[in-house]
Amino acid sequence: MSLLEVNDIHVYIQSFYILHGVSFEVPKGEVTVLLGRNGSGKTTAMKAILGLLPPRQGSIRFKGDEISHLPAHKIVQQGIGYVPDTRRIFNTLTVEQNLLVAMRRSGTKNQEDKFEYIFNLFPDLKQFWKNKARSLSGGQQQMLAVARALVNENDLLLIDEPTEGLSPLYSKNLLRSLSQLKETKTILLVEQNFRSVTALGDRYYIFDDGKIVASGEDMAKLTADKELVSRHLGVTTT
Amino acid sequence: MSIETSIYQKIKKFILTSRIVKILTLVIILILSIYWAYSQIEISVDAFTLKFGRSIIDGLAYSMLLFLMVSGFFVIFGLCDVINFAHGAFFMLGGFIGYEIYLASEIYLLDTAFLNNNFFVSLLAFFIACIGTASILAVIGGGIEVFTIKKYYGNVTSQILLTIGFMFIIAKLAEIIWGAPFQTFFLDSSSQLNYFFLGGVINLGTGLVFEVYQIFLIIFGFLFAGGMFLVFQKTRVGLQIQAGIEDAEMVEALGINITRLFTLVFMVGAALAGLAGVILVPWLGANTGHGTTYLIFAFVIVVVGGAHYGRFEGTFFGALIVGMSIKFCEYFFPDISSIIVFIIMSVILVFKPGGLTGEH
Amino acid sequence: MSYLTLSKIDKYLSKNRVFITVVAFLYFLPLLTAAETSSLRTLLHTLTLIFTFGILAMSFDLQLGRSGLLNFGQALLFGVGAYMFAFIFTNKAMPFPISLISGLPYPFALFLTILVGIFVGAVMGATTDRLRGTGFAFIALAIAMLVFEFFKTNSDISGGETGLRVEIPPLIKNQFTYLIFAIFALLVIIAFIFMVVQYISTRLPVNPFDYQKVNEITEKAEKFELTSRKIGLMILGLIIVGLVVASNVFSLFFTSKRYLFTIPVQYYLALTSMVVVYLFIQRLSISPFGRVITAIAQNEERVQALGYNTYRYKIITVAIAGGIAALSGALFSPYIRTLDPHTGLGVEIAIDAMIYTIVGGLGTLIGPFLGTGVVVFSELRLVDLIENIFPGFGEWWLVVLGVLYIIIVLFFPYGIVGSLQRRSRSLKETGRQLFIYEHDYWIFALIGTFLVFFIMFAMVS
Ligand SMILES: Nc1ncnc2c1ncn2[C@@H]1O[C@H](COP(=O)(O)OP(=O)(O)OP(=O)(O)O)[C@@H](O)[C@H]1O
Ligand SMILES: [Mg+2]
Repeated sequence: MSLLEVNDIHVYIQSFYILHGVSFEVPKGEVTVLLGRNGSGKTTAMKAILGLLPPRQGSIRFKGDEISHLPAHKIVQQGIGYVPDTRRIFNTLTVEQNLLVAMRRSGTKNQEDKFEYIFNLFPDLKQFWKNKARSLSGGQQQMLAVARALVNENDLLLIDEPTEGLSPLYSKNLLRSLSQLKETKTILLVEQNFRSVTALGDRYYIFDDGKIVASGEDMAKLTADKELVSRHLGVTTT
Repeated sequence: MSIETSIYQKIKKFILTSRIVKILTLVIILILSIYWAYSQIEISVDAFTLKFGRSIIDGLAYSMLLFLMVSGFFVIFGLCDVINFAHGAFFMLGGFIGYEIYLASEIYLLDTAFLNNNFFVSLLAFFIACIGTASILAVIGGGIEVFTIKKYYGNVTSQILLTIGFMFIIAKLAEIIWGAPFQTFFLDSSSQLNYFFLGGVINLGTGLVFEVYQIFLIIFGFLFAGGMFLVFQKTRVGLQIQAGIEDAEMVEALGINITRLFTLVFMVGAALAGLAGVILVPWLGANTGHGTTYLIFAFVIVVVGGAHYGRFEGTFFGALIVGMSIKFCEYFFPDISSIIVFIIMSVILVFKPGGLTGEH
Repeated sequence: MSYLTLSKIDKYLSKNRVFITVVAFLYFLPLLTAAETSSLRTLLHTLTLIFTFGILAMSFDLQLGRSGLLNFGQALLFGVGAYMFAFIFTNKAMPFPISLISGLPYPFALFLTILVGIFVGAVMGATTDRLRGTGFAFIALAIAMLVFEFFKTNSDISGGETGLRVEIPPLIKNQFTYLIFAIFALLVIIAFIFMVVQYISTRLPVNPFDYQKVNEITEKAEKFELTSRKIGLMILGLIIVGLVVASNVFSLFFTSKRYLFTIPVQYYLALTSMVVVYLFIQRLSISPFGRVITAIAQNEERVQALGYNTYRYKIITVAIAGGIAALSGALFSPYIRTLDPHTGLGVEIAIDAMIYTIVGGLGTLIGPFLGTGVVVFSELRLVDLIENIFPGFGEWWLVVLGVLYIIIVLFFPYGIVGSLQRRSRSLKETGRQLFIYEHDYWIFALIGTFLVFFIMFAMVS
């Protein structure tokens, strides 16, 4: 049984029909990657899992329980961490306060250990601990956004385009941090740049126009289909 | 760094490090030393200084009162994005409820006679009035949120019409019960004791006289502001509210029950309005016309302090600016005392279009 | 009249049946009575106020509903019109610069007032350069409050506590004005009859249950033909209407009581202004200008990026709204007769305009007017209504009004018209199942208008 099973969900934003029956699963301990060009519905799928855009139809099971009817905070409390696509850190709060807001009551016991763990992962955050989040650089803000998902004992992390807007070096570092996480957590990752996640992912789904058009466990096999790559990933391979 | 280490340590650390405490200590020392200086030396105070001193004290007291009232409006506007037109009505209603509770509990306390000290009777009665009013208003505010406004988050026009509807209902009911705005209800004329716990005056000699109640208001206001600051910076709920003002959906995605937070904020906002209403009564009385006047002040202060993603400190300074300038003008330029608020608001908005702390 | 213009008129009539029906009904109303004391006159008097504030609400809606500009200073724009007219038509001697305009003839007064309204609107709009959203709302409020306080403290121009007494302009008391309006009303009614005849001759021969065929009616209407049957029907209609109008106009025309004309003439003035404003805003919103301001309301940065000077568009919008609001004020001041700063410039006016607009539905054009009707009529009649049902509870009317607002939000979260529009597709579908098509709506509009006015009539008498 997979940790998360999404089965034939149909999602609307207001009256727009965005996801037309999407199914995929995220096995425990693996990194599952969602690929697809802009506007194909990857972020929407994540929001549907989180309960921010509840599906009108279909089922979402987390640890075997149906969660699609629950309000967002109930879903998240079952152990899901979310790193949104545009960071969405709280600018007016300090780095510390950003993490405190995210920390659930159950997590406050071994708070110091958690912070230590985060400092190990992202030493920059320690340096700017009492600074307003607004004053951080883009990369540091992204670290903060990831750290915010790590302060709780989450089983599943939903990470939406973590390398967006980061310099190649920064994104490499960040992806390395993520592969460290891989040992202990299950990750559902959205990434535009499919080459950079080849080493990281265990399983891939390709979105287009609100549907899944291809999936597989081996990136090499998937990208062998030149037409699929150029059509759905927007990259011409030579 | 930790949120649940011993409370004692936290308080100790706070007292040692916080800027607010330092400022407050300084202010208190300053006031005491001025008082001491006055008692030592015989200075003849000219009319101008007299007026000036009075306007400062009046202004500070009034600012604190405005701040108390507007902080409720601010949290509701900031977090829930609701322009609460009923806020002035809550404030006005709070005044009357507090007035009635005070009188009733005074009678009760005198009957039971376990307190034979008038000072303590009135103090206790006032305390009961504050708590009672705040709770009643919290229930009213929470009820309004749960049964109506909750369904219309995101639909601004509906919220406006709803809160205007409640404003009318509350204002008219109050007029039916307590009469039209030309009558103001004062505690000292209605009270049996005819003795209010802070009814005294501080006489600094040479004609410089301050009412104790105003001094109480100033101290209470600063303490309250410090308390609010602490709540926003240090407590879980406070941080959640601040984060929610920026991005409510993200807060929900972090596993926080934002709907419950909204209801809570509504209750707190209404309770603060009510509390401010009670606290106004011993000074300016309860009047059914207060609702509209103070609603406009609330608007202006929030705009001056920073409406969009503004911070709570902005509201504090906004209240300070507005309250001080109103009282100052009442003493020195009575002609423009009713428009000074708008002049100041225009000037501030022209130089800082987002208000003191807000974004444009 | 050439064939081409005739067929143009014909096409216009067949496309705007509901509008023509309602307008014809409203123009016909004053012609029904010549009596000095009739409850119809009371109704006309009430309707005049509704039209006047309806114009104000449309001006507010032009800013908020179409351009996203929340203007809390609306009271000033209204007050400009109200005070201009008060200055022109008061018998009190005014200080120097104001005395220049006293006694100006009505048409010039109207023209000048609208110009001043546009100017004040432009000044207000000029603040949108630095300020937007709440900032603009409150700067506008500040400007309005400053002027309000100025009028309140300067009793030599505002008449102090008692206010300014406004004389009725001579033009309004004039029977020739009434005659002109009566003739105009006749023209509108002729257009209506024309439309009905056209409808009968095209719609009836078609099988009423055949949607395809009914749909062709509009096509047909463009090919205009005058058959003898059409002409006969029209003449019949004209004779009936003509008789009513003639009897009314003649009996009034030979009276010496000039004051009898004020109510219907004011009614006609307000009605005509409202129709003109309605058509104007309708045109404006489908023009390129209207599309740009709607786009600015949705995403200003993007419009700027397209190379538009959004600032200029916003100034022009507020200026136009200022002219319209001033027109509303100009109608109001000779109606209310005594103007003090509260009735002419108080903040409540802005709040009221906002309530009317929201009750009717933001950005729906006809909504603000309907909202005005609902609210103003409730404000005027609610006390009596409650007194009749629960004697002694008349003072509860404001409570009831508050409850009414809450009920409106619960049932119509986007305002009355706005919520209906959101459901218009399903409503149309339901109508179609009952074999009611778009072409037949005017009949229901007629019945509906008639019923509404009958109920209002019953309530005022
Ligand atoms: N508020 C909205 N209203 C209407 N349509 C929306 C809204 N938000 C998103 N969409 C549409 O939903 C579709 C899916 O969007 P989504 O954000 O899920 O794409 P994505 O795959 O995450 O794209 P990207 O790679 O650019 O982040 C897009 O076509 C978008 O236009
Ligand atoms: Mg995305």
